[in-house]
Amino acid sequence: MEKNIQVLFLDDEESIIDGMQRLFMREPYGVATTTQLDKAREILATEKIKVVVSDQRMSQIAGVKFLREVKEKYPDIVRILFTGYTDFTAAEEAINLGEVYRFISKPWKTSELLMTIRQAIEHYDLIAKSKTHEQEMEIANRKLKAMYEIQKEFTSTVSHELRTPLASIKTAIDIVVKRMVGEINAEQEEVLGRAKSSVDRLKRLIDDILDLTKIESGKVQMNFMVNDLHRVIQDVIESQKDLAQSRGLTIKVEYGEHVPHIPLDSDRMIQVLNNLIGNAIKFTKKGGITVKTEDKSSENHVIVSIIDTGKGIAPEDLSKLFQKFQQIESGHENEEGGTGLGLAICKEIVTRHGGKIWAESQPGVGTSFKFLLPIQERRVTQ
Amino acid sequence: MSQAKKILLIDDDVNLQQLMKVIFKSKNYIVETANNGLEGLEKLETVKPDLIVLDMNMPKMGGLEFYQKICEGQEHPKYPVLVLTARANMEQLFKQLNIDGFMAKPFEIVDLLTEVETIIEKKSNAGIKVDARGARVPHKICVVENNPEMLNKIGSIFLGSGYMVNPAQNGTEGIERIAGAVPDVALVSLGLEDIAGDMVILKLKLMAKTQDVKYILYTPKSAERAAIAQKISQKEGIERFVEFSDPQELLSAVKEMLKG
Repeated sequence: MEKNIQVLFLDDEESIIDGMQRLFMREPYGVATTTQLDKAREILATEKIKVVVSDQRMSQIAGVKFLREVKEKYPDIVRILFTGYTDFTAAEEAINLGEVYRFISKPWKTSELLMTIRQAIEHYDLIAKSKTHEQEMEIANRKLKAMYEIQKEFTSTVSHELRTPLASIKTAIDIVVKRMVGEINAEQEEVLGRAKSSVDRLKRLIDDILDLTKIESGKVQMNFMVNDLHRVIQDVIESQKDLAQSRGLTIKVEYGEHVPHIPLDSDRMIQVLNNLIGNAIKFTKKGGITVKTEDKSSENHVIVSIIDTGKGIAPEDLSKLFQKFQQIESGHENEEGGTGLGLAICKEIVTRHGGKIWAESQPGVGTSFKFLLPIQERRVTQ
Repeated sequence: MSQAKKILLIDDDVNLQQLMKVIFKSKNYIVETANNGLEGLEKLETVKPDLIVLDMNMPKMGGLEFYQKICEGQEHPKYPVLVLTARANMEQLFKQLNIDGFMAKPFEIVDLLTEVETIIEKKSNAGIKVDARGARVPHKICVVENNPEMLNKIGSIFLGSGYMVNPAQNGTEGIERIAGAVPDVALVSLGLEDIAGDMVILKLKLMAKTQDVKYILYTPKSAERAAIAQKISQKEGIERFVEFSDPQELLSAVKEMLKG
């Protein structure tokens, strides 16, 4: 069977070339030999050469120069230089410049020569293989990105398309409930009240899905600004105080001393706090909510805790909390109907701040949602 | 009481259109309806509304084309326009239209009525400094700046002086945020990437809700811009034009302005 020619020898001494063919007879690859530069170029253009071995001292061209030419034209081909001891400097320089993979000194040992060529072919194959992998990865990556774009586009379109009919449903219910088209009795109001709460939940769900998609895709720019965390917390508590009071719950704060101003997107931080404090109110029957801050400057962060006196969360559920659409069995009548996305959004926002969010709970005692925010910026930029 | 006001409602979603009609009628508005821009134009031949409530995506003629038609080559239409949006493309909305207000679908009835009333009466929402309990609420400012470093610098100057700061990083976001939570003062950078700062202010000045906000247009000082700056500072709607070498100068400008 004809062997594929994979190695090219260029040497202007006929005697050396003659010996080569015989030497490689038993090797699994074919070898092309020539004393002519033109012929060597022709072979390179027509055969699938993996390794080129060139003598350094030739009348037509210096070996290093020829190999440089090979490198420019066929960068993947492994190049080996044949040198006498007197050309040592040239060989060393060629290796340093990356023009040559190895050099073989004359006179050579047959076993050494064969070994070097074999290694060179292996080297070529390895590089080629990893290159294919890289290309495959890149194609897969590009496909994934394209798919992600489509999904994003789809989510955003669907959200917008859903809003229009939803607006009609919501408005229709509101008109009746607000008695803009005549009186309704208590039973009718209750029935519509249930429709209304579902519609409002659907609206929140659409908003949350769109919001989460936007944050996840990095489309939402975070507006970081060095800010007073306590003031942001105060703002949120102010807005939730009435709700807590109506349920007989207290909200108190335990602000740590020397909590520094830190870079944050206040709008987004309000979103996180609203969510966590809102949840705490929703899932607490008796007692109250404590918002606590701690200065951990030595570890370059501050910690915010939202502590409730609710019934707690089972340990096996704690890790699931921040996944999308995870609603833990609460045992409570969940009258407001969460979207199952609130905590996932909180996690994204805290992560984009370069922070971390988690929950600790003691069933029967209460739950603490905690997040830390870096003092020095090390937020995730997209 | 003055004469009943007239609203032209243009929306291809007949359900919502009819429902809004019920809402407006309950407040004694006279309501005319159209199913698309083309029908809207026909209506305008016989009806002179005090306000047009306009949907964007419609068959035959959408909101954008209708808007351009009623502008008749002018920069502003003859009638005040409130745009209803499913929040699809806000940038295009702010860039291409000079609207008097916008309302996201779905909306709360009371918000829709307040917005309509505000536009028709050109009543102002801004400038409320004392809350229900009578406590002094810190002044709210909004900073629109696309250079994060500068945004941070300006923001911390105001935060450090006890202001509430709402930051935005481009013109579209700025308009949304300023209309969403109306500030006392808006500081707008001239060199915004999506919509130029002076245009942002112009659009906000046209919206009923945000017309009374005090606007400061600013830019860091540079010699070659001096001539352009001169021109811009004379534009309408801009309370003050500040060219600073130190962003601290913005703080004194705002302080002075709020005193007066």
